[in-house]
Amino acid sequence: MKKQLAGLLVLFLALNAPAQNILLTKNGKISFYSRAKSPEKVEADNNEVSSVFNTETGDIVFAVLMKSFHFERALMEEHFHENYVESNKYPKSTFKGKIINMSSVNLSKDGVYPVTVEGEFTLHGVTRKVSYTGSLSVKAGKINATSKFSIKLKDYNVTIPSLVADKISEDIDISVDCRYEPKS
Amino acid sequence: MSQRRRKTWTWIMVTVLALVITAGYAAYRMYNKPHRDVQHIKPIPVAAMKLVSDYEANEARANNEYLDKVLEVSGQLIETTKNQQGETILVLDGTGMGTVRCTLEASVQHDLKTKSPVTIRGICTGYLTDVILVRCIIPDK
Repeated sequence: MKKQLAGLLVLFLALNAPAQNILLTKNGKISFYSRAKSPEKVEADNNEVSSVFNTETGDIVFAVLMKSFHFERALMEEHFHENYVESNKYPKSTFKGKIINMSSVNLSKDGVYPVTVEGEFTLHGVTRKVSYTGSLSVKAGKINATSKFSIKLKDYNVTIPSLVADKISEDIDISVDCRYEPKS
Repeated sequence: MSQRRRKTWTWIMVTVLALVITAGYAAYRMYNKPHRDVQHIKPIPVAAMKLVSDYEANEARANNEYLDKVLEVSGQLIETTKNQQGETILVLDGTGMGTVRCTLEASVQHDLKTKSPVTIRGICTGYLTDVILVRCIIPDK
């Protein structure tokens, strides 16, 4: 709970920094899928991702409501929330960190810039220090942050019932796609 | 094998087969069960302002009351926008700080005007800096 409050505080402070360097979105997209051996696709989308990005310092925060993850199959969605990520107990997942190579990014020039982000990722009540790569693309002044990475469920104390252990992979691929707007 | 014994066995086989078929059908139905029907679930009515101020005051308590429930939220429409998928987002005024952001179901058409009072029904997924509702519809009056 304290961690979540701290995360929100960071988000709040970021929102109150001088406006010109702050980009945000309230409708970013995060999807995940399990490289399962089953023919059934285990995947879900969340289109209500909040993110704040300070282009000067490289500070970047993502906040996700677990209940916003939507599956094609209702039963899968129910199992995901009740048995795996326990969304009632842990309704949020957050990432707060920093792009460590902002100096190699020129946001006033169109292009695709590879970036490395370091920070703390919280999921299912477990916080871990992580580092992932992604890219910032600039096109006609619009800035888009994307990343693809994978996590191990056991790192976040998410256990797979043995009955379906052969259908759900321990590695979950996550993709992030946030199109930012300047803070108004 | 006596006639009687054979008859008993036949009955056992038929019963077992019927049970297997029923269980299989039940499992199949369960596996393919539809998503919750927002249209036909009795919603919790709440004013947008109350919903946001409840979340701002005590998020855990508000989650107990609203999280994952079908809500029918009334308030002033202050903005309509689209998400990255092209789905419509309706933004209802809350407390001045936080709003209620409603992602409309893709099939829902609307002709709501900003600055007018509206009522939206959807599933509450929690609070970030705003309260989020997904799979929203506009209920019939």
